[in-house]
Amino acid sequence: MSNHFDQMEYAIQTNGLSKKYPAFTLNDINLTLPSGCIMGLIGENGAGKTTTIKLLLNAIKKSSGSVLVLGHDTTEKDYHTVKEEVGVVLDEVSFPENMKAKQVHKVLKNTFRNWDSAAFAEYMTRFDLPDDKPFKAFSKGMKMKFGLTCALAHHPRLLILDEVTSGLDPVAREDVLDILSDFTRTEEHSILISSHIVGDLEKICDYIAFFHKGEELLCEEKDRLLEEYSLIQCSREQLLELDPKAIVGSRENSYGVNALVKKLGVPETFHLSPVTLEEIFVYMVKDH
Amino acid sequence: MKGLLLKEGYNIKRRGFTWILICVAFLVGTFTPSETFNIYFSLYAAIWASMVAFAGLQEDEKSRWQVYCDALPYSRGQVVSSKYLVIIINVLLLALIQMIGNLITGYSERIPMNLLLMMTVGLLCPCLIFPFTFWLGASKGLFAYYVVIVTAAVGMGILGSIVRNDIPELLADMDNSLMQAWDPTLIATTFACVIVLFAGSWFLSIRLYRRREL
Repeated sequence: MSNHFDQMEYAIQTNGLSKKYPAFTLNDINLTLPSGCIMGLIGENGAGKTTTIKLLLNAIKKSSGSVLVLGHDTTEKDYHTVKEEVGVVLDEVSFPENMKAKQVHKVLKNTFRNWDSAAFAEYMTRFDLPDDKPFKAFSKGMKMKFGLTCALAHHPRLLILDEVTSGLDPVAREDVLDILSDFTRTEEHSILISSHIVGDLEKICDYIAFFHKGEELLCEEKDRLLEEYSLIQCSREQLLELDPKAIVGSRENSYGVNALVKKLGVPETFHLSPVTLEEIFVYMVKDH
Repeated sequence: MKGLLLKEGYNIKRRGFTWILICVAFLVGTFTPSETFNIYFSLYAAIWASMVAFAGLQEDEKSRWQVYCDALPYSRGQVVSSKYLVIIINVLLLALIQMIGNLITGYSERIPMNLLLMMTVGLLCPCLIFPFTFWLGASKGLFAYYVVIVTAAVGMGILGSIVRNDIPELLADMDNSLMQAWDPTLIATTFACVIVLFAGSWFLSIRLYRRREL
């Protein structure tokens, strides 16, 4: 492998990425994840998050566009060698059901050059996972934690996590989020994490991408998003006075109208409330 | 590829245990003095042993290990090759057991022919079925394989009845028919053809699996 890492600024870059299926199209995805950052993919079920992840892993072929992971095009002949530096947890952690953790450890130890048995043991202890039980006896949460253990134990530069916090209890979720935050303390380390639990992503992500029905609604810095949008509560008439371009989405209720707006397009007379990522996403999707 | 082969080993150890028992049971039949029975038991054992890798493929599909493999630093070609290597190892192991069995029972003159026959059959079945499974998946691939085999068998039967008009007599006297086919040159040639077919199957499976989307 050449010195791509020395020149690399981005862990992931997609440009016009599309994938067509008979009943679904992932269309024109443009993601840029700088090294050392965490990007969250937010979207409802079937929005295209897992399809995007599969395209990054070259598990499926793109219809058009380009994909670079750690500076390498996914269509390169030896692209699979890039996965030495990538740790992956898929939405369903997939190990043969009769294999035990210690057997999986031996398999992966003979797979990854940088496999660290001590780190594996440390995560197994931290997550309180049994060494000697067959994988089919693991609960969903245990499977997720084990998948994360395997993803971290070979010291990757990039983590790609698909719904890694679903199925975890609140304490375990906090622990996982702490681990992920620690992971990116190293400048070269990056994370792409997808979830529909927006609250988890809001805690740790630097960048957010919204997916809806195969479309990328936005890809933006989280802080800038939260700074750019606000919620207002007003009457229908007041809402109509606003510049339509400033209104992202609105909901009527018996008290008036709640609307998501771009702060810059709203007069100071309106009372602006802080907004969460979840609210931004819901209003955008409902209005899309 | 060491990790993949290790994983296959664990699969066989756990999931293929029943298969191994069946192979051993059939191999016991090789201790019979009857040459015909000897051949039958050897061939059945070869077929069972060679299908251990197919059982592994079904297991991989059920557990979605194939999907996870795409996240590991293995090429699709390596994943396919690990399965074909398992077939070769299984068949060679069985051939070794067969050889030891024949030596112990004092039928050492049978060894070359039995080994050739066993390896021919042991390699033939998976090399026919595997391209289908890597192309379509284990369940659909097995179905497609049966369709092809039945079609080929019916076709050969029709062709045979056109070429020869004594098929019923041949089938009624199967033992003699087999003994007539027990020609070393014929068997060695068939084995060489199966080796070529196996290599072609390996190459084709890699090509098909590279294109498959999981």
